Amino acid sequence: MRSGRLLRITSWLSVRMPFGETVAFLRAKEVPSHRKTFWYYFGGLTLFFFVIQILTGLLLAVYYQPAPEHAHESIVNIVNRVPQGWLIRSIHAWSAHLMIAMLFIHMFSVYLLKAYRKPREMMWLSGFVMLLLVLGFGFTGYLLPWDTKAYFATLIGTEVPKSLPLLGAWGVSLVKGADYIGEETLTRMYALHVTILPLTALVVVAFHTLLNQYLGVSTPHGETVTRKPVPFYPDFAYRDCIAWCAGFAVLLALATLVPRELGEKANPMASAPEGMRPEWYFLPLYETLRIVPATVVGIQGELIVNGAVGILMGLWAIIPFIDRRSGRGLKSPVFTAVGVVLIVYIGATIAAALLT
Amino acid sequence: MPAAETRRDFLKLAAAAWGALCALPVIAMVLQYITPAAPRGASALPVMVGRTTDFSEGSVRIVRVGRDPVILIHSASGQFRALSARCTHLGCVVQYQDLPVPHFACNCHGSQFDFNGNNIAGPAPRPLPPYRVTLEGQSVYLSKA
Repeated sequence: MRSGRLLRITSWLSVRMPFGETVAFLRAKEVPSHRKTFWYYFGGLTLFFFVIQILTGLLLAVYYQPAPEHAHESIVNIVNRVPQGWLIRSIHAWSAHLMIAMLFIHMFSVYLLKAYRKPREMMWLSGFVMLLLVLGFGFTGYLLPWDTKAYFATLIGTEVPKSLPLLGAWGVSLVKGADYIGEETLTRMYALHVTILPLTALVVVAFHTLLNQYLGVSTPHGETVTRKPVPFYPDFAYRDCIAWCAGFAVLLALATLVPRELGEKANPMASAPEGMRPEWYFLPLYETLRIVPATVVGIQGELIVNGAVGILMGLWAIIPFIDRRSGRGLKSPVFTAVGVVLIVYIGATIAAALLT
Repeated sequence: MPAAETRRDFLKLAAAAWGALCALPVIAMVLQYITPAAPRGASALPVMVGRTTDFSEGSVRIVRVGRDPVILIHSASGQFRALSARCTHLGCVVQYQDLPVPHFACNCHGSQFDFNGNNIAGPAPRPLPPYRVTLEGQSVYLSKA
C-alpha cells in the first residue's frame, strides 16, 4: 500500500521533473582505476571545502557589519556572544586554508600527471580561473575582521600591483575605493567577498564539473590501466564521501583545537606590528618582494616582481597550449621539471618566511 | 547560398552589432560608477596637530594629518621637523627605533630610514617625503611640502 503510494508520487514527480536522462548520463560516468587514483580525491575535497565556505559564510553574514567602526566589534560579538559563533568563524577561516591547500594539491597533481592535455584544455583554464577566485576570496576576506594584521596585510597587498603599467593603479583604486584603506575599501572587499566572487565561482565550478562529467577523468601518461574502471556513482562517490569525512574531521579538529584568533582593532596611525606577514598562500610573493632589491639595473624591484609574476601566471594559464608534446601523447620532461622547480620554490619561500 | 539565409545571417550580425553597441554605454556607466572619486586633497592644507608644549624637546611622535600618519620630530635644539610615516615601499607605517642609532624601521619588509628620512636599507625606493612645519604662536601646523 505504502510502496504503491510512493510509486505514484515518484511517477508524478518524474513527469514534472524529467531528469531521468540526466541521472542516467551521470551514472554512466566511470573513473579510471590505477596506482595514481589517489590524486583524484583532491578536486572533490576542494569542492567540499568550498561548500563549507558558503554555508559558514552565510551564517557569519547574519551578524557581521561591514563598516570600520563596527566590523571588529561585530566579530567580537560573533566570537563571544553569539552561540557557537566562535566555532562557525573558526570553521570558516580554517576551511578557507584547507580549500586553498586542496586546490594547490589538485592543481599541481593535474599539472604533473599532465591531465590538462587535449581535450581538457578548458578544464585547466577554468581551474586556473578558480585559483584566481580562491586567492581573491582569501584576500578580500582577510580585511573583514578589521584587526591590525588584516589592515596592514591589505595595505601591502593593495600596494603591490600598483607598479604594474597601464591598469595597475586603476585596478587598485577600484578595489580600495579610495587612496587609503578605509570604509570604502571595507565595503568593496565585502561586496567582492560575499556576492561578486561567490557568484562567479559558482558559475566556474559548475562549468568545471560539467566538463569533468562530459570529458571524464584523465588517465596519466604511461599509466597502464589493468584494473576495471570504477563507476562514478555510487562507487567513486562513496570513496569521495570517505575523503570528505576525513577532511571534515581535520577541519573540526583544527577549528576547535586551534580557534582562529582576532587581533586588536586596526589603528591606521599605528606602526605595522613586528613579524607581520600575509597568509601562507601569499608568502611566496611576499618573500620574493623582500629578497629583490629596491632597484635592479635601474628598474624598480616591485615592477620586476610584478612583471615576473604576471608573465608566470599568464604562461601557467596557457600550459596546455604550449606543452604540445603532452597533447601528442609524448612525455614532456621539461614541463615536469618546471612544475617541480615551482613546487620547491613555493615550499621553500613559505618555509623560509615561517622560520624567520 | 539561398537569399533568405543571407538575409538571416545579415540580421543576426546586425543584431549582434546592435547588442554590442548598446552594451558599450552600459559598461562605461558601470566603470564610471565603480571608479572612486579623485581625492579631495584636504591634507594639502595646514593641519593643526597640537601645541608646542605637547611635544617635549627630543621627542619623536606620530601625528595624524588628514588620513596620513606623520612623524613629528622636536629636536633637542628646539627645531621641529616632520616626515611622512608611510614607508615608500608599500605604505606601512614606520616605527622609531633609537638603537644602534636613531632611525625609522618598517616592520613589513625591513626597510630603514635615517633621521632625515633617507632610505638606508631594505627595499624602500625613496626617502620619506618631508612635511612643512609652521608654528603660529603656540600652535603646530603641518602641511605637505
